[in-house]
Amino acid sequence: MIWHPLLLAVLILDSLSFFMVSAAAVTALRIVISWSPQSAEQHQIRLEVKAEVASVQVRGAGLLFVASSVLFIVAVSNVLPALVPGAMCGTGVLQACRGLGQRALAFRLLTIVIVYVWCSVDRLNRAHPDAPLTTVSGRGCLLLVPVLFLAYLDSVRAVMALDTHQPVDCCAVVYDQVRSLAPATGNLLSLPDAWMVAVFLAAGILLIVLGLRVWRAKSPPSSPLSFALTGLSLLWVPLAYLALIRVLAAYHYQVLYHHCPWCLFLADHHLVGYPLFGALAVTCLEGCVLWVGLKVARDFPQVAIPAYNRSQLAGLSIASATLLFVVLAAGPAMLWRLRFGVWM
Amino acid sequence: MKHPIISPLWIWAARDLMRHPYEALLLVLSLTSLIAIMGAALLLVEAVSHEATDLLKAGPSLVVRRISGGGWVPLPKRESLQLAKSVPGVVHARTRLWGTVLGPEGPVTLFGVDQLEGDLLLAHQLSRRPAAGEAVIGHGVLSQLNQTVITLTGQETLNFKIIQILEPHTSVATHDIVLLDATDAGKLLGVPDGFASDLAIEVFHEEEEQAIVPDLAAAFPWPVRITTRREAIGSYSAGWARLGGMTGFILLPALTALALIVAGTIRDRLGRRYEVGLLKALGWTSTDLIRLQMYRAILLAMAAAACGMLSACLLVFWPGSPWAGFFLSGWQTHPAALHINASGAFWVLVQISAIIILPFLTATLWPALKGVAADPQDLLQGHER
Amino acid sequence: MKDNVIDRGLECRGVTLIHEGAGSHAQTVLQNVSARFHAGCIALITGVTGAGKSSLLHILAGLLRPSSGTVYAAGQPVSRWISAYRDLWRRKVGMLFQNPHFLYDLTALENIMLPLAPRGFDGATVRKRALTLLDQLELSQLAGRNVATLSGGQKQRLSMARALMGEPLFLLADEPTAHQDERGCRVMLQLLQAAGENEATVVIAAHDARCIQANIADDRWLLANGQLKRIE
Repeated sequence: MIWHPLLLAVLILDSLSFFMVSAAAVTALRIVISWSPQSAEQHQIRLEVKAEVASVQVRGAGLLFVASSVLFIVAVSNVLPALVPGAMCGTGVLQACRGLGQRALAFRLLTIVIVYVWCSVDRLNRAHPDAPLTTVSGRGCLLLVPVLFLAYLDSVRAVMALDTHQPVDCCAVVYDQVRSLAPATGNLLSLPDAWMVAVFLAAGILLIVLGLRVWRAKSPPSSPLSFALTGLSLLWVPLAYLALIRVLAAYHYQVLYHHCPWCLFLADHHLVGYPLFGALAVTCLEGCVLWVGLKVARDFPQVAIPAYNRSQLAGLSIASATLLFVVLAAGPAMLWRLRFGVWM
Repeated sequence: MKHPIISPLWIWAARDLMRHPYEALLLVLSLTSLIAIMGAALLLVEAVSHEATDLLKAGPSLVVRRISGGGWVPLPKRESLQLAKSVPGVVHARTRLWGTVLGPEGPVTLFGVDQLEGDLLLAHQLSRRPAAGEAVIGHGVLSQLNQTVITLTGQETLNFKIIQILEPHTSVATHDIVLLDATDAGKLLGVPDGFASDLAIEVFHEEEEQAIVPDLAAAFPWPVRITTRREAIGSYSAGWARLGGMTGFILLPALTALALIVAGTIRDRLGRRYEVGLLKALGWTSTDLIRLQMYRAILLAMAAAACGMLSACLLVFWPGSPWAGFFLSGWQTHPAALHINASGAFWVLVQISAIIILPFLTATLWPALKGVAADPQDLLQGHER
Repeated sequence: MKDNVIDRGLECRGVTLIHEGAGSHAQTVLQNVSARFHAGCIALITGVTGAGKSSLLHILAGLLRPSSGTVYAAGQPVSRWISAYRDLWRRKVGMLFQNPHFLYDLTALENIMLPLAPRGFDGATVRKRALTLLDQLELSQLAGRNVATLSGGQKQRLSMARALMGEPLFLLADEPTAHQDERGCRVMLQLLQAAGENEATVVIAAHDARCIQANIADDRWLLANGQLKRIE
C-alpha cells in the first residue's frame, strides 16, 4: 500500500460515485417494481420526482467515475512508475498490484460502457414528456450497481496490494503477455503482421465510410447498415489494439519488438496513449450507443426521432474516432517509410 | 432579447450568496483552511520530491554499501574501488564518507571532503575546502547564523570553526549538511582511516543500472546492498508521497465534517422549501435550481481554492516561512528554499479538486436534488404570508 | 368565442382533486371538472371562498397535479408530463397568487426579474422590461424597496408585474383586485384585458364584486360543490 494522494483522490471519487449510484438504485428498484405512468396517484407522482433525482445522481456519479478513472490511468502510467522499483511504465505498476490492477481496469471499462449507454438512454428518455424509457433506465441503473461495486472493490484492493518495495520487471511481463497471446487468439494472431495491418486499415476505412453514411443518411439509417456498423466497430477495436501493439507501436518507440501498451502513455512518447486509447474507447462506446439507439427507435416510437438522430451522431463519432486512431497509430509508420524507404 | 455569453444565473448565484453573507464567509473560511493545509502538504511534497529527484539524477548511478548483521559497516577504500572497477560496465567509482551526527539543534548530515571533486554537487559553491577543525554548514543547521563555532557529537564531541554557510537556494539537499575535512568526519562517524561509508558508481548507460547489480554484488567478498538511482528516487519520492497521502487521510474526517455541515446547511436552506416552490412557480426548472446551487458552490469553492492555494504557496515557498516544513516534516531551523514548478502545482490542484472540491460540490448538490424535483404547490403549501 | 385560436387555449377534462387529510379523512375539492379556456379570451371563475377556485388555478398552472383527469395546454396533456417538461411548460404561464409570494429579502425590482433570471436573457434588457412594467403598475418609485416593506395592494400589483414579465401565453389571476383601491383595481383589470387582447389565455378567479361588475370576461364560470358550471 502506498498512501499517494492521487490514489486517495481516486478512492474518494469512487466512493462518492458508488454512494450516488447506490442511492439511485433504490429508486430504480421501485421503478422496476411499480412504475405506472398512467396513474396520477401520490405514489406514482413521488416516484416520478425520485426518478428525476435518480437520473441526476447517476449522471453525476458517471462524471465522477470517469474523472476517477482518468486519474487512475494517470497514476498508473505517469506517476507510480517512479515509485515502484523496476517499473518503467504502467505495466510494472500493474504487476506490483499483484494482478488486481488489470481487473480493476477491466471493471472500470465495463462500468464506463454501462454508464455511457445508460446516459444515452436517459437522454432519450428525457426527450419525451412521458419519459417512456424510465423502466429501461431503471433496469440499467440496477445493472450498473454490481459492476461499479466490483470496479470500486478491485480498485481498493489494487491500491492496497500495491507493493513499492518488491522490484518488478516490466519487460518480462510484456514479452510473456505477447507470447501467451498467440495460442489464446489462434489464427488471427498467426497472420503475418502485414496482413494484420492490412485488415486493420481496410476495416478502419470501411468503418469511416459506413459511419459517414449513417451520419449523412437523409432518412432514418437502415437497420442492416447500422447493425453492420455496430458489429464492425466492436470487432475493429480489438483488432486495432493488436495491430497497434504488435506492429505499429514499434514506430512510436522506434524499437523493434517492444509490445507495451503502457509505454505509449509516457511523456517520452508524447502521451500519445491517451488520444489513441481514447479514440478506441469512443469507437467502442459509440458502437454500443448506435445499436441501443436503433433498438430504442424500434421499440419506443415516441422517441424514434431523437433515437435516430442519436444513432446518426454515433455514426459521425465512430468515423471521427476511427480516423483519429488510424492517423495517430499509423502516422509514425508512414513517416518512417517515407524517411527511410523501408518498413521497420 | 439578447443572450449574454455568461449565464445570468452566475450573477443570481452571487446575489444569493450575498443574502446570507456570514454563512458564505464561514463556508469559504473552512474550505480555505482545508485547502491551505492539504495544499501546503502536497506542494511541499511535490517541491521536495522534485528537487530531490533532480539532485539524485545528478548523483551516482549506483551506491554500494557494505552490510553486516548489525547494519551497515565501513568498507575499505582501496580494495572496494579495485573490485568495483573490475566489473565490466563500471565507468567510474569513488568512495564517500558520510553519515549523521548530532548538531546543536538536531541531527545533521555530515560529509567528509578530502578533495573538491565533481561528485560533490555543490563544489562550485564552496569558497575553499574545509581544513582540519573547520566546517562548511548548510542554511538549516543553525537557527542563529551568526555563530562562528559549531559543536558536533558523534563517536566523540568536537568543535569546528564555521568558514562558510551555504546559500539557502543552493539545494534542498544541502539544507542540513555539514562539510568537514575527511579525517574529522571519520573521527565523528567512527570510520577508521582508509575506510569509507559507501561507494558511488557510474555506469555507461542508465538502462545498465539494473543489469549490472548482480555482477557488482558478486564482485565483493562481503555482503553489500546496492541501490540504483531509480530505486533511490523511487524510495525518496514514495516517502514524501506517503506524507502527502497521510495528510489527506488525516484531513478526511475534517473534510467529511465539512461536507456534512454543507449538506446540512443546504438541506436547511432547502428546508425553506417555500423559496424553491416559488421559483418553480415562476418558471424555474429543477435544472435551473440545481445549476443555481452548483454555481453558488462553485463560486465559494473558487474563492476558497484561490485563497487556500495562495496560502499554501506562501506557507511553502515564501522565503523564510517555516510553517509547512515545521509541521509536516519537523524542520526545526531555517526552512529549505523550495521552488514552485508549473506541472507540479497543476497536479496539486487536480488532487485538491478531487479530494476536497468535488466532494464539497457533491455535498452541495445532494440535498439540492432532494428539494427541487417536487411540485411547486407542495413546496409553497403552508407558507402563505 | 374565438374558435380560430381554440387549440392554443387551456382545457381540463374530468379533473378531480382529492386532498388527503389526516387519517382516513379525504376531502374532494374538485370533482370531474371539465372546461375549455380559449386563447385570446378572458374567463372569470366565481364561487364562494373555499369553493376550490385557487386549487383549480393551481392545477391549470401546473403547480399541482390533479388526482385524476388531465389538463391540456395547446392540445398537449401537460398535467401528465414528467416534472422536467412541466417545469418548462410553466415558463409560458404567468401566475398571480391570491396571497402574494415573494423572496422577502430581495428588492421589488429583483423579485419581478426572477422569472427571466434562468432563461439566459441579457440582464440590462430584463431590467428595462421590469422597470417598464413597474411603471405601468405605478410602482416605479418602489423598485429599490425591500418587498417586506410594501403594502398588501402594492404587493399584489408587484405580483401582477412579475406574472407579466415572461410575456405569458396563459395568465392565471387569483383574486387580482384584492387589497386594491379603485385606481389600482382599474389598472389591474386593464392589464388583464390587454393580455387577453394579445391572444393570451386569461383565467381569473375572483369573488370581488368589482371584478365581476367590470364585465371584462368573455366566459363566466361558477364553481360550487367541486363542480364547475358555465354561466350563459
